[in-house]
Amino acid sequence: MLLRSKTSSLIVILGPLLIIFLVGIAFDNTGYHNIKIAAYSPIYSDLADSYITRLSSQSYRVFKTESELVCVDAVKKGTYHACIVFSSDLVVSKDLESEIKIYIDNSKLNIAWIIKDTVFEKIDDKSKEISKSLSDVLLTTFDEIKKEVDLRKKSVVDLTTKNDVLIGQVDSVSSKIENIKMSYNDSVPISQISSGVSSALSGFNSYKSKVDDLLNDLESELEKIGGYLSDLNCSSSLTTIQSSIVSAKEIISQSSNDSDFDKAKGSVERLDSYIDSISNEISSIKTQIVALENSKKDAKSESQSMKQGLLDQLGKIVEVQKGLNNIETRISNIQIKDSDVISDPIRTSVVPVVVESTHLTYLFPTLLVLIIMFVSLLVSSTLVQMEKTSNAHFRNLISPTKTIFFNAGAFFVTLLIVMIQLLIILVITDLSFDTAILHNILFILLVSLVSSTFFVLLGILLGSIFNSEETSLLGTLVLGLALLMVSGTILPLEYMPISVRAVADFNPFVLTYQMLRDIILFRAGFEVISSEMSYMLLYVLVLGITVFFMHNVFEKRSMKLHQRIHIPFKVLGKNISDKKPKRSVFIKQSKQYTYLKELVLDAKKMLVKDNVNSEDLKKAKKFYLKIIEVYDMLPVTDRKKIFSEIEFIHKEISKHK
Amino acid sequence: MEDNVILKAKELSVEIDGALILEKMNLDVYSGELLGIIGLSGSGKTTLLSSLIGVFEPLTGDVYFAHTTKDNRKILKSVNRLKEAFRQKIGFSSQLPSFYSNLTVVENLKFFASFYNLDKYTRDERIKILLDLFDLYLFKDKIADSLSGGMKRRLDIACAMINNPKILILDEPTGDLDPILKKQLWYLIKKINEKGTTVILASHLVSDLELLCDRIVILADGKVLKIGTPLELKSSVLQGEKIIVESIPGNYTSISKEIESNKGVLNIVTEGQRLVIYSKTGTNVLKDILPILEKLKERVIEISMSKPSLDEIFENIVGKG
Repeated sequence: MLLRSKTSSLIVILGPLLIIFLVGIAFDNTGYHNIKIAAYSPIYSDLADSYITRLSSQSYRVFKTESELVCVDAVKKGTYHACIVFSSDLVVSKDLESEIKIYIDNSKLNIAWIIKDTVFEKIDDKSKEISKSLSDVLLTTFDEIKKEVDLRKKSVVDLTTKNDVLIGQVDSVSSKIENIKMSYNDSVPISQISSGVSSALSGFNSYKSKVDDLLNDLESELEKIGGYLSDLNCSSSLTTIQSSIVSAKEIISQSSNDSDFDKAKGSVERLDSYIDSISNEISSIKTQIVALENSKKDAKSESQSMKQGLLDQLGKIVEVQKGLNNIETRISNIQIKDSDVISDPIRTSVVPVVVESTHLTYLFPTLLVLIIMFVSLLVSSTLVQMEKTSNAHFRNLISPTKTIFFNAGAFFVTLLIVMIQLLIILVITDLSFDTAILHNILFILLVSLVSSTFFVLLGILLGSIFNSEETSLLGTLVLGLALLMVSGTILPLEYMPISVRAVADFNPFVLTYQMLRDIILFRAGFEVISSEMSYMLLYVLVLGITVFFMHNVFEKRSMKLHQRIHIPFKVLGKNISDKKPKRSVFIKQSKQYTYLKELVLDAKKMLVKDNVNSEDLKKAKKFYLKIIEVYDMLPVTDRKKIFSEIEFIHKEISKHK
Repeated sequence: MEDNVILKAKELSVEIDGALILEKMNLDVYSGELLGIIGLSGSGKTTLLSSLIGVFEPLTGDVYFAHTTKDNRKILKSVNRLKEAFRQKIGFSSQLPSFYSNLTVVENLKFFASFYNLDKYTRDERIKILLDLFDLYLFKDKIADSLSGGMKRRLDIACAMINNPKILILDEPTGDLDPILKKQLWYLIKKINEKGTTVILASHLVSDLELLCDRIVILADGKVLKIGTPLELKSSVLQGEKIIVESIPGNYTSISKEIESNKGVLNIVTEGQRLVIYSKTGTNVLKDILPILEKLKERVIEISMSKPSLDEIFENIVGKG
């Protein structure tokens, strides 16, 4: 069967080779190609430009866009793989407004992470550079501080040494002061002296008041006496004077016998002794003060020396202070000291251009295209093949109805199947999963219709080209797989060389995917998908015209095929065309005729014997089957040459049967 | 006679895959006749039938169909030009039954009727007539694939006749059928033909066609070797008798050598255990044979003399061709 059908042989042998060849051309490399990155910054700082320069390379091309919206839209449309938005006048800062946003299309599942990682890596490289330079600044400052410290360390050592000397001097002064005897006799009864003095004073005061009272009394008595004296004529006055004198005497005697006075006297005497002891003590102190005076002199001299030392130290301290000031200045000159900023100088964030809850949403356009492509291709080509291989096909061919109507029937049936299937899938997906589909269902169905139309027409063309269901199926699968392989679904298109990718961009699978992706993920309108839609409509038109005009060619071929199938050739009452050969005969075409003649001779030998037994007949039948197998492969001219001999063998076998 | 031509092949040559299958063939098919085409397998019968309905574009020449113009004139027009109009008027049954095996008998008939723009009444009437004619009424709701071989063949011809064709072309219609079914089918074909349908049929069963056909065309190597009524063929090809001899020990080579000298002998062939002698004057040859057999000490088992059949004429013609 395969040997007889050129297209079948071609697809069986070349189909897998074609896929390997296509995949080989497409993916025979290790890197990426033509990764396009859009960039935007309201004001491009040097830092932003340096990032752009870093991102630009042979594989990565960076294009500045007009606005953030254009930049992000470009990613949504798939024109660019990523959009990098630098904040206005980007600088290394802790400021929240200074950051880089990377917009990535997560719906491109097989490339999104690669793009993200690669762009991130490149940005990170630059950030590391910045981080390194910031660290360098720190380290340089540290180095300079170290030098300063080293320089000032000597001064500090000097200070320490001198300080030690000063400590010695202080110790010396201290010991000298220590040696000054500052003790005094604690036994001097100051309190007692004080109380004695107080007592004496009190005694004296008391005594004085008493004296005063006596004097007063005395005075009054004297006055009385004087009065009495003036009244001398009175004896009684004399008596009274006498009594007053006696009283005065008593008073005086009383005063002379007064204890206060004695106490005071005693106190004074004790005071005297105390004063003596104090006097002694004072002289002792005096001696000590003299010694102290000497020590003071020594201490003064030491102090002078210490002052000089301290002055020296002060100089050194000033130097150290200068050094510290210097260090402080240097440290304050470091602009970035924040460890977070140094380790991560530019805040970078990744923002997906489409926010969806599940991966199914990202996958959904691809799934739809796969369903559209494979169902359309397989169903349409199978329907055409079923029609072609159907017994009724010949009757249809010779009917007044044109073949194109049968193709149209296959077209509409397949389209109907695909569209119903899609509608069911869309509704189930919308209701069962967290994926909003139905809001744009008309657009989705429109794109699906156009795409299905293309793939159904392609399936009809393939079904018409191939002569058996098997080869048609194989051809359809090969084509489907080829389209799938260069669609970016399995391996990203970015792996392909630019030239191959330029072709892949026009792959109907890719165009349909782009449209469905824009509609489902980005809720795009018709104007967004118009370009892809135009290409698809063009394809549909070209393919429709091709199918229309080719149907005559295929009709004639089907007629020929029918004619070839029905060449009557009976094997023991059965049509050989319906009989599958037990084994294929792989003989070169040039040798087939010779081989057939040999087979005919062998068969004849078995049959022209006088007594043909059952074994001979069996062998003859075997040869006959081989003959038929080879006969079918021969061109008609060769068949005619040998036909009569085969007819003879057939008759002989029939007769013996 | 020319006025009665419904289909005409003129200088028709057909080439398939570089091989010339039909070579400058001329053939007139008359309206209402039953034309049989006989030939060896691969002689071009099917190609001729297919070419007659315009399946193959001719290399040279053309096939013409008697077309009635609007002003009621009858002209011969190329079937390849008429195509759709011509196909409206023909029915074709190929060697393999050509219908949808997973549809019922009626569904198949309805489907093929849909090609001919028949109104529902006409369609149903035709289907009813065909079901009756082909004894398929009881099986009308059976899936076609479940029918027997004879039924399938009948259904196929019924499908070919759904448009009430002017010309019915049948290619090996009795191919797989047993003798009883064959007879039934031949009867049916005759009946169709008697109703006015021109029938062209190809078969390798020469003897059957002899009884059925008005005219017979003998094809070989893509050429018309002979054409005429069975009688014409018999008389034009072989005038004389056929003598069959079966003897023991059956030294037919020696017998043939001895009898060859007789001027009345046309041809001698050995057919298995028998010797067949074709002669112009059978009686004379028979007289000579008996002494020869005696001379060669052959014991006669059977000896007979008869007129040759169409099978033999065919073999004779094709053998010479």
